[in-house]
Amino acid sequence: MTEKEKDFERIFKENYARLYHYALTFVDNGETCRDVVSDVFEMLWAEYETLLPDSRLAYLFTCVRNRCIDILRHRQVKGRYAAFYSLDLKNGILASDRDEEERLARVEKVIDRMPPQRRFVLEQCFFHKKTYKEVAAVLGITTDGVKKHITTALRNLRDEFPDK
Amino acid sequence: MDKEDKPINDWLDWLHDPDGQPEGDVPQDDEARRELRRQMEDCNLVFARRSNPVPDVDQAWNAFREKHVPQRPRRRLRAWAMWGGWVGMAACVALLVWLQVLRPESAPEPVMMFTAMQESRGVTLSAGDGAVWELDDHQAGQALQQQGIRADARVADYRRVEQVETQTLTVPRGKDYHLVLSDGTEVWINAESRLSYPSRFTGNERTVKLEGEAYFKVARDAGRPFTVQTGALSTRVLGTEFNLCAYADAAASVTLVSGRVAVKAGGSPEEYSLSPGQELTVEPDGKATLENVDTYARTQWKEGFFYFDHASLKEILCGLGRWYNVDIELDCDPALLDYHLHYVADRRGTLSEALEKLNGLKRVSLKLEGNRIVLE
Repeated sequence: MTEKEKDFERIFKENYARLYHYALTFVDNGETCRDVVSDVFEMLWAEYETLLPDSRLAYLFTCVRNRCIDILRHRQVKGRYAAFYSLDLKNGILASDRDEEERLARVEKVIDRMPPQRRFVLEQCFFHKKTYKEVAAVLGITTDGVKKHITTALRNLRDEFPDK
Repeated sequence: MDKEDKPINDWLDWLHDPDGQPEGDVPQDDEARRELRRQMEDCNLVFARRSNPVPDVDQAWNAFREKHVPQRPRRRLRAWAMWGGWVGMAACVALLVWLQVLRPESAPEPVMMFTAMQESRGVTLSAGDGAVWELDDHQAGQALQQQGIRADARVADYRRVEQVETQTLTVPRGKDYHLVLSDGTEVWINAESRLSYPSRFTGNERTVKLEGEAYFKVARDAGRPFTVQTGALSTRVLGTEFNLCAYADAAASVTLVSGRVAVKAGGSPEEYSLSPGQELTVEPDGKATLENVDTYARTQWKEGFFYFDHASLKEILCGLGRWYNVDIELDCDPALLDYHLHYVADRRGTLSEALEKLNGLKRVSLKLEGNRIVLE
């Protein structure tokens, strides 16, 4: 194996699962996300020599994000998620693995402490990109009730990370 | 609502108004937008990891490598070409192995995972003398009234019964039933379940037997402990509320809503003491786990809902099969059954409504063909 092949294998194995889960935060379909991640590794393979070693990881995450936003736009997802996600943010996705694990464990704990209906609302609205109206209809509550759940959920999360 | 929430609320409104103009008033607050975006991403990562199995990285890598990295085995194969005869033989063996071992797996036959029952009657009560009453029958109600049992198609009340005999109440698929025992204990019995109990409790023990699922609200009587026996579990209480699920061939579980219970599993002398919010699950092989759960989700069935909170597709489908009495056929990778979902539906609705909601989660594809659900 050449040097490139060895390095590439390491990058691939270390980041495949992370990129897959990252893609899922935009598009809630496992199969689509697997395709996105594979395509993006193809792109990295082709561009490998032109990229600085330090920028490869950022390149992968950026490409996954852009691809996913394209998919969201293409599907004309209700609401403005696509527009919202494409807004440039200096987000913390490239934080070290360990910091991310620790943070997500705390987020998960907060989510687990929520009453099931609130968790349901959060998952449907955020993860599945459903509108308040759709979620309200499933649960038989008002759209205001759905929004109240989200506001409370966000406050619970903020209370967990008061320093931010 | 707090003042400080306002910017985030503007963003939430903007995101969730599908009728608004795309260029409509975009909230300007960068700080709030960043915060919302970060929280959303974290939540979604948690949900993504939970509801999607960890991808097979090695398999993905092998697929990628085959495409891009030159393979040594290919070169070797060229060398082997000289040994034509050997290669031919190896190919035959490989073909045989493929035909006999691998191929049946790659094209699986549909598997039946849940079977409908032939007859589905109403709720029945068998008395000690062998008589069987259909409880939705008005005449049965009148006859039982003579014994002090007030019973109709939905509820039976034993608080005025004098006579002591063992009776058994059987609830078929698609029904549930509410029972008030002689001591005032209330029991909600779920579909496809059976409860045996004395028409009046005597002595220092109150003991009933359950197959299937029921929710118990036990009347407090410190002098007379109440025990529910199932195939695998013996649950002993003084006065409390809990759900007990013990269908044949599946894990049995006790979920405590309030008070305290002590549970013995199988023949084991060990006794588990549960606090409110805890659930004890005992697998058919005897493995027991104690964990904290949302009791709300576990007890919504008695309010008339399918309420599955982070439940496997298998649990959800068995729940639907049990209520609507249908076959469920698996025409896909069985691993799909381990997908965990949130699912809420009204039990008073039709099966196709329930399936539509499940398909609407966009994770699975279920088709209704006559009296059969096919999972693709």
